Amino acid sequence: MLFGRRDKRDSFERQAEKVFPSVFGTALRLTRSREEAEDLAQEAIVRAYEAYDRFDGTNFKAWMLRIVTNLYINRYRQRQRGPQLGSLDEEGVVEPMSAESEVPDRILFDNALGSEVETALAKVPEDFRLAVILSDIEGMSYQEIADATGVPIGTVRSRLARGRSMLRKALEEYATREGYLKQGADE
Amino acid sequence: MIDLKDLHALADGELAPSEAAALREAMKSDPVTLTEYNAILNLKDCLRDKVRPVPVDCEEAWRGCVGRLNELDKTRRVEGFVGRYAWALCGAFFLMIAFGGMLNRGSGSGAVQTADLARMVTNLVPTSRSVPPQSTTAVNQWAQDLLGQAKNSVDPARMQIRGAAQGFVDGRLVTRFGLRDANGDLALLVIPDTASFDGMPTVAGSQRYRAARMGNVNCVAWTSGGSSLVLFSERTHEDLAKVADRIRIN
Repeated sequence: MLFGRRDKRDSFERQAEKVFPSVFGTALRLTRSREEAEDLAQEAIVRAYEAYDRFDGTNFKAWMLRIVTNLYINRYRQRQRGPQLGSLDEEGVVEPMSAESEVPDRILFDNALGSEVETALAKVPEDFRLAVILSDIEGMSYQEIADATGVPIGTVRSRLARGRSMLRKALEEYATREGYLKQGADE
Repeated sequence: MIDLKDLHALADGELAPSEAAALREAMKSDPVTLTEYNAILNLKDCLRDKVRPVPVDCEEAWRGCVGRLNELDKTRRVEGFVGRYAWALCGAFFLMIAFGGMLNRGSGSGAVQTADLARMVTNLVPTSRSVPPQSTTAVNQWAQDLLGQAKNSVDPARMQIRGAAQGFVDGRLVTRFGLRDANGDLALLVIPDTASFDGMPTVAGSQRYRAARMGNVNCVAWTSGGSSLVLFSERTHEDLAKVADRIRIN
């Protein structure tokens, strides 16, 4: 029994250490506060350890991210003040990202620094940001995102499309402000 | 009309092969949709290239997690142990308490508390072995029987045994003597098989004697010959200590 528990702890710790950067990074992007992210990540690790017996053994990272996301949704979101912009018009019409824009995408994205992309990402409303983070940064499938956030796949698709559209707009604003847009257009 | 959400799904590899092939075919004749599709791919590349999976060092946070897991394991171990052996632990504690109580009752405690002294004085009921203070000869004979040569340690010229009583208080055999010297009456308690006194400070100038006060009467206590002795009188502790110097139990 004692050895079984030890083995369980070792096995969990090995897997958790591997995925912890993703867990912590996601927590950081969700909370946008290092202190809260540490708290959220630690809480998620403890919850996962307590529930490790119920882990089906398939995708540990997706399972961990689901716990982080659920924990964030259940606990941290309740603390936030003000209306949740992310809940507006989720199923509404998805705007095209480039049809009416003259911005050459490659130049825009190549000139964007990592910190600026982070800043632009932070401006995207929470639900949409969460979908973009889980899909484009953490590489989760639609089904995994749907499981993690507790919404249907259709909503995930919608949130991703709108989230990316908003992110692109934020990056365009940055490019215009910094002069990259004009420079790129001239070229 | 191509649904933009399908374009995102195509970029994410979430469409079935047949749907993906149909969409790619449709995009060939729709440059606007193709541009949009490329914009999606560019944004995905940008996020993948520019946004690091770990934006900051997370070593410290991980150490915090390990610490919490250690605490959790420790708590589980203790809970598991207590849960499994609760009855055994309770039984062991009960047996220890019972055994200690029996041992204490059987052998008597080696220490006398201040509160015990008061009980010994007040609860000692004269028994058939008590003798009235009027009969000096009887008292001397009684003390001779009781203490053997010990009574000879009391100098009859300076101190006189005027009465005695013996009985049990709280399971202890206690003997009380009534004494008289030139300064007045005293009472002496003799408690065999006790070795120390708890909760009493030493008399100033004499480490051998412990001082206490019972009601309005001072007393000094000390050990001698395997017994504990307590001398009571309305005198100062220092005076009592001087009187006690003259008393010996052989």
